[in-house]
Amino acid sequence: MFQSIDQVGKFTLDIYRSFRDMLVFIYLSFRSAFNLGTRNLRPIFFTLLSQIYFTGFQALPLITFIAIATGSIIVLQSTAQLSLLGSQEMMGNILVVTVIRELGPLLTALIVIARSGTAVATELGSMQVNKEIEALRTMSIEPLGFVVLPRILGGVISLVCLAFYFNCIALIGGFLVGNLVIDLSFSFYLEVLAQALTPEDYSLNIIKNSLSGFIIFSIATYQGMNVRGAPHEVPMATTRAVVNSIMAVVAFNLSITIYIFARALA
Amino acid sequence: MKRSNIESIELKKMGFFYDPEKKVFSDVNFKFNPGEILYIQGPRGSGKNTLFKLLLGILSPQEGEYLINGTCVNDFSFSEFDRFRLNMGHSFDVGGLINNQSLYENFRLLLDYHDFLEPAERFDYIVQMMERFQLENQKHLRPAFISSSARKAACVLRAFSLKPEVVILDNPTQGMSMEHIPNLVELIKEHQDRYTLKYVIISSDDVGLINQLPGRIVNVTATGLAN
Repeated sequence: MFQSIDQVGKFTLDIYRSFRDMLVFIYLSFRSAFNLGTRNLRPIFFTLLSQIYFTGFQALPLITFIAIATGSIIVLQSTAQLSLLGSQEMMGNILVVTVIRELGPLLTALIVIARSGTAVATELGSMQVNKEIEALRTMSIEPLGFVVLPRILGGVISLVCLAFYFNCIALIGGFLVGNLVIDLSFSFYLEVLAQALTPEDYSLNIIKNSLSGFIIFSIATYQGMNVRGAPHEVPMATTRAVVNSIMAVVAFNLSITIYIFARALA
Repeated sequence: MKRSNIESIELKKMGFFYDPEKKVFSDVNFKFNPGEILYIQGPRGSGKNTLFKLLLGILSPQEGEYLINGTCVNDFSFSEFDRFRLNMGHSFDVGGLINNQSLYENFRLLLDYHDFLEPAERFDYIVQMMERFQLENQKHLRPAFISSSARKAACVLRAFSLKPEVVILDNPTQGMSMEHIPNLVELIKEHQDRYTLKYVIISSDDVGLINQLPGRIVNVTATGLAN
């Protein structure tokens, strides 16, 4: 019995230590931006742009496909069910709640974890193994400022833009498929959407996506930078980055939803 | 680029450990003489790499003093040490080049980041450096696509790109093509004669190199650097 309690205690302490170390890592990464002084910021800006290109721009085809599929499924399913109740005007609310508030941010975050979270953790892990991070230090290039910070910022910017794009494409795709299959009229679709959308949806969307991006790329960079030099640690770090990111992002999105729901009830 | 001249380097009763029970260095006293070529030798795991990291300010001694120009730099932060580190060039035993950048970009990163030379002069400067080791035709290739000998030459060459006062070369001839070794000797001599290179610290037991570039040989032990 005591052995089980010991194991629970060890597990809790491990989680606490990892969380504390990660917070210190994030703090030092942002602090490094203030130590850049008179450095030429061009190479750092180039790293930031590269991250936005790989995470944001290159993910567009996949995001487009999944957004069209999501929008179409929701429009078709909700139309079919709502017509039974004779309340098709509720379709706008269902679209806003499912696509813009919930599925858009969550699906975009999961796609970014699968495409870029893994790539960042693997890249930084390999850089540690090949002594590239150590080489940067010997060249007086602070890796937290040159490697980590642009990746976190680039990830946040990419995720916010991708989620906005996902929402637009999901709504357009939903209309096109709805129009094709059930002759959904554009004016009706636009009207129900305009009634359902509130200014809070825009701000909530930005907050959710920027914080999800921050969580994903903080975890990925932390796990990658924690590789100590053996090649077999790289896939282990990547797996940890994916598992921890998914758990953290889902928990974060769920807590925001619960908070909004509780506030609406109150 | 703000950097300070390095007039003297000295270790006074320096001690360092990763694990307090097992010290890597203890009570080390050593003065590096300007103009001298110093060969550091010792078995694998004797602390050569740790000594280099201490000299480069990547690690700090926990005991004694590491003095540069008479000032103890033990407690200098990474950025405070920059003014000395920018006058130090270092090449790795294995690896060390940035793999997602071409050879040219590897050199360019260092010059761009520290604003060394005017931007318009940087391309010619890098190509001129590369010509010494016949790397100019491979300048747009990434490290994975060139021979290991060329990678080694590029890594050694990069250590000289900011015209430093100190160079620390870890096994520079290991894996380097035989035809490049005279070029390396010539490079060191040129930087000593024409530029500001004062301290050359090499980890090597390559007799061929030592014959071509004679210097003092010291052995790394836990208690010091013995002649």
